[in-house]
Amino acid sequence: MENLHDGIEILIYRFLTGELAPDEQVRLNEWLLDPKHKELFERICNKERLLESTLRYDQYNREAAWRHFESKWLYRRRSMLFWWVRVASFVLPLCLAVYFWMREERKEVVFVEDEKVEITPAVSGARMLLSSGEIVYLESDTNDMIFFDGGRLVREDSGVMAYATDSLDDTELKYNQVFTPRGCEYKIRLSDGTVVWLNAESSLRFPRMFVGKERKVYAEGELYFEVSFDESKPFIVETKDNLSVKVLGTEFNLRSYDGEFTATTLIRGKVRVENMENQIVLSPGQQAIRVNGCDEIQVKEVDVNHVVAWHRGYFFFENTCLEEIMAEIGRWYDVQVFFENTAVRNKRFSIEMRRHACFEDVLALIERTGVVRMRIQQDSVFVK
Amino acid sequence: MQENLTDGQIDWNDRATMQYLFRRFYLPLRSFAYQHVKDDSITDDFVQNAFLNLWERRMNFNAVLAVKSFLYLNVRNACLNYLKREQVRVCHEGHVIRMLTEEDCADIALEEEVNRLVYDAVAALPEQSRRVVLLTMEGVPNPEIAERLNISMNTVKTLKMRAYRMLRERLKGIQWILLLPFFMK
Repeated sequence: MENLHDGIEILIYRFLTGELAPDEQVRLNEWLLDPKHKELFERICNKERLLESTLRYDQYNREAAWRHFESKWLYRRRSMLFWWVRVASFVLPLCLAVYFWMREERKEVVFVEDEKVEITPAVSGARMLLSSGEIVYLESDTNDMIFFDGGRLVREDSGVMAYATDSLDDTELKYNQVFTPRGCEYKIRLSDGTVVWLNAESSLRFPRMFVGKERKVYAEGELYFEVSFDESKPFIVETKDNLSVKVLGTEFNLRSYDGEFTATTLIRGKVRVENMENQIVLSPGQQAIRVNGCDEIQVKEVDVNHVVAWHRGYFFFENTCLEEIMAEIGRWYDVQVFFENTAVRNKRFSIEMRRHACFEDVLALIERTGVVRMRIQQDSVFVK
Repeated sequence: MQENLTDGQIDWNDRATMQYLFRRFYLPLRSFAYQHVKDDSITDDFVQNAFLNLWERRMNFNAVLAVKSFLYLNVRNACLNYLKREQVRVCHEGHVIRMLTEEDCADIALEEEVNRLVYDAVAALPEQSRRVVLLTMEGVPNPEIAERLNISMNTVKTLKMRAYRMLRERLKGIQWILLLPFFMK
């Protein structure tokens, strides 16, 4: 930023005040020969803009800022000892900024325009496999009431679809399975009142009626449970890798995607996580992690807001590697992700954004860091 | 107003010098930072740090123009670093991180410098008159100005006339742009 149009500001100001001397007029005219300058000049002299900035300037408290600065400045004058440390701490970010800036400049963003397929965030929708073997398509927001063999789903005010069965006298457990494909999410209330949110590519197998001493369901993918309280009938969630979560009445998040850790995060209440070998009781804010192919269960404290961000409509990644991020985004937007450059798989990012953002914006945000490039082709994303 | 300090004469340990530089550049730099990062709560820090950095590298500067260029560059880098550090964090939909080119920055710096000159002309009015002028520019009607400043309607009118006269002398050509439409009401 060598050229700051030095000295031009005073010419423009004098033009505005009508004090421009003839030789100054000549200099200004010369400067205005460049069409870019002319455009800039007109923008600067725009009355509304001038007004707006005058009012903005007036909101800034220059004197308070000076007093604040002065105290910091005096302090530094006194402690000059480690000035070189500060010089380094100043020069380093500056160099980095310039370095990244140069990289950014060189970077070209390539969006392939041909055969464009519109990529949209997930919608509400799922499929339900009934005990009879029939598949019911639960498409987004089409119906407030869906009837099928042996039961129905009714939309509640909150948007949750409540499951109700026709048969009141099941003597044995008859299971339905609801599953969300990639690019879909779903909320369902089971016959005992428990509400389950299913994230994309997840499934829940539950009985039409909870017969017996316990309420047992089977889960895969990522689900958020709001279990209705019933002391006499504990609620048990089982995952594919034989982990079970036993609860009374509580809210918790379960994540058990193929090839990932199985993580149970407790929001409220109390749950017991167990497999063949171990038993662990979680308190709110704790997360139990079970590493794939290993029986050990680890417990750690987590910020539950991050874990359940998805069910409040946000993506939240904290220092997460790109591979995981892209897997999650791929599920949500129903796109296939290919890493052309494997080195970037483990680059870490922190992202917080709405889950209903436009897909291109999401990628552009990640690209903006200058670390990776993405190319969209139909419904696939190539990461370089 | 432009160059009270001439080349080679900046006394870096003199409070008055520092205060002059601070007052001279604080507002345009703050507004400049705002153009990058649309969040006024953090831009103050950027500007203050730029001045601290300036002072720490003081021996390398002896011209006001070099100081100006240093300050703008420093604030700009602070903004870019901030945007980088925040990486891709977007809290609200519609909040867009703007990456400005170097050319844009030079243009904005020029605009802020002009704004600063205009603002200083208005700011140099006596406090009460300045308030009246700023409120008038915001489009607040006389009775409301009187109420807000807790003065009578007549005082508002008198202050306006006086401010108008002073500004006319100071701004000559600018009043047609800035003030005339409001004062003619």
